[in-house]
Amino acid sequence: MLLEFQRDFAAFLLRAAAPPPAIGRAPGEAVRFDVYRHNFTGNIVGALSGAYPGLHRALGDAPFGALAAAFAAASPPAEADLHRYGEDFARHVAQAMPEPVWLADLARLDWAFSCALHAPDAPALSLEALAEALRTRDDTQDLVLRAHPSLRLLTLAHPVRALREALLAEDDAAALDAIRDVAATGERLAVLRGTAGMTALTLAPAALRLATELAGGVALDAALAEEADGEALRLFLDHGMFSEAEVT
Amino acid sequence: MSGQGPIPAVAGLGLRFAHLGEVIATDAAIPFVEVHGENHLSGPAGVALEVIRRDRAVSLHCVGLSLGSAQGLDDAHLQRLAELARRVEPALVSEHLAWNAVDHAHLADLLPLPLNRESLDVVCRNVERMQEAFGRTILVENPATYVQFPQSDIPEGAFMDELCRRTGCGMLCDVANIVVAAHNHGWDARAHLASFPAWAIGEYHLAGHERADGLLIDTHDRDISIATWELFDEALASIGPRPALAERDRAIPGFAAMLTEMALVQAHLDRAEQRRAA
Repeated sequence: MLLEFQRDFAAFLLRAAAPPPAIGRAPGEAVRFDVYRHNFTGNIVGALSGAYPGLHRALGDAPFGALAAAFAAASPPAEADLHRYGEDFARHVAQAMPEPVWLADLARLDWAFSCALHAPDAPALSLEALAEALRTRDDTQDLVLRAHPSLRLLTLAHPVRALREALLAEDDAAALDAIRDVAATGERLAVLRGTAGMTALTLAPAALRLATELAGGVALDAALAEEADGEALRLFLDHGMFSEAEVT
Repeated sequence: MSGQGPIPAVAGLGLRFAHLGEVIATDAAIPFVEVHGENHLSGPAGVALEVIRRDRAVSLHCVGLSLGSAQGLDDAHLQRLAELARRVEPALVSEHLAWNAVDHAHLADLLPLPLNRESLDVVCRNVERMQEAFGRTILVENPATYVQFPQSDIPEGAFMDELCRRTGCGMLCDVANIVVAAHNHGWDARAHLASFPAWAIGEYHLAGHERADGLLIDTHDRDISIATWELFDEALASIGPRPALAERDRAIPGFAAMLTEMALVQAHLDRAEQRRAA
């Protein structure tokens, strides 16, 4: 009985046309049940706003709220930790609002920041520690770098980093300038919670390839043989993109 | 799990993300902080809590375990919270007499339960499972409610009493939730307070509420109402002092205002102590 009751209640929360789960005792039942629907929607919109602050600012309260509520009804959270909720929201936004074209990329960048912010903590592998690991091993062929848990590598069709920064700073003039620039070529970013806090590093194509290979578990020797970019590796380590070096 | 030891009957701080840095930096006397466990499972907030717990007692208040779920607890979420508790060793752990998960959908609110034998068995089973995972007893909070169900045939006070007796858990008495539910259902708030198992109450909560469409809504976004302060005083006189705090979850004021609100709660505790001593 309780299970059926809870399924009915969930249907009521998720589907606007669904009836309340049971006939209540007091008059004005619809208003009372609506408190729960309002709380559910408000909490979901709040959670998605926390994860997608740039998108929220770009769209404004009402359009963002409507998109978030529709997403919640179709894809309610699958786990209790709402910080992990909303990965598919960027895709939902792209389908629901194909224009402006940069909107979905802005959502992807927001989500990368949210994932980086809530990722587990880990130490940063320093250049000195890596040099020591290389110095003390005869054979470095199997040395791999473990990516920091917060690292997210992104290739965006539209350069939205400056736009997001302007939106979060509530700098409308800068946001308009950034929107004018989003027709330019895309950008490649490493988003992480690194040695300088929350960071989005712009990467050259070769640096992104190197970072992708290293984060994917390709051995350091092999990755550098293909992309012999010592400066990029120094940049990665300076910002804490990797947490340890280990032999596989 | 040994925990941090009991918290005396003092006012604590309901700690939210915006004030983590200030709590770490301040010299102000804050006897304990209470956090939502779900907000500290990872990332900088998790690290900050481990720093804070070195100097201050911590109360871990969970909101997503869904003790009323007919399908039982989400094992992965339970283990993540239990692991957090192993790191933090909180002095208190609490959850709600509510549910929010069914068929793998988490509904992001504290939803009401019909109170009857079936739901009592479900909640007892889930509380026992949570206590087993945490290796300690917990407190269960009475919720703010807006509806009642024809399937309910056990009063909330009797439900809580039997829950505490069967599982060994305690009760977190949210005074504001009593005010809200009593207004919404036409109950006598003092009689409802008196129906709870005083012997099991281990903590008090207070918070502000909104009035809308003839209902009181538990919003945690404003000052505590006079009715809630009065019922808190009644609880302190009839049940006795316990650790207590004011909750804010929306329109969160600055850190200084949070400390002022904590001091107000402490003033009520002090006055109750003086009356008991007189």
